[in-house]
Amino acid sequence: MITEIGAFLHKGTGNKLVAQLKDDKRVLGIYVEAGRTEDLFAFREFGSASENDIVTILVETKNADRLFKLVSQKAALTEPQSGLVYQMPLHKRAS
Amino acid sequence: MAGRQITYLTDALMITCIVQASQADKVVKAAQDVGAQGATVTYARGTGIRERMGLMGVAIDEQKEMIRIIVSQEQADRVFEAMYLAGDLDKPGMGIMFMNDLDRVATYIPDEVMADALKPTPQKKPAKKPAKKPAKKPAKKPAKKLAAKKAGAKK
Repeated sequence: MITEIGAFLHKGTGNKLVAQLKDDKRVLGIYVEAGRTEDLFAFREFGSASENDIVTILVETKNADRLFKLVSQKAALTEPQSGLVYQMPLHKRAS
Repeated sequence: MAGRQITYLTDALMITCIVQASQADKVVKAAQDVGAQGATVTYARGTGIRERMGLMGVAIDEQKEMIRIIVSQEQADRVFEAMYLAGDLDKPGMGIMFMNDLDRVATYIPDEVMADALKPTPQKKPAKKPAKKPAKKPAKKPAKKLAAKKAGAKK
């Protein structure tokens, strides 16, 4: 079984996270994309929105807990306006 | 790292909605109007319906916006419907949306919100049921018996 871990992070931190995790053997795939968000961060750049990075990590379900904690710690979620991390089951994977 | 704790939220869903470029703002506004906190929007390029519609396909923008919103289970259906209607997704080529269950979500939760959530909820005492009165025996209906007797007498 495969699990997706997603993280909405500050602009710039997505690439750092990818650099840190790309060589981790538990990570099956890791991708980063850029977007804008309305509510996650305090600073505003474009009216009511601010730029952010979205990181998607694919892992085996047995490794999901550890990776989720690791990503949450790297995102410093104990601070306000620091982003959000989620975990979602996936049905199938092929590569 | 001492003293740092991650609180996991459960019963959350992620709504993903893909619409034509520049349509995202009105969809996000509709979601916020019915209780969603906010949304994350990224750019994408779409294919499929545009080609299938032939010449009419030129009216569909190839550039897309992908909206992701995380909502609680209680508000999920309401937000989903509001986004669907705002994005005119019932019209061909306007976009697609779907909803996924999330195992868990982690984000910063203010201390006061956490304290409120951890307060034990007062349990309601079950209302006392009124003592059961002995059921009255149904009154005998002699009229029917009489009628039966009469019918029998006729035979």
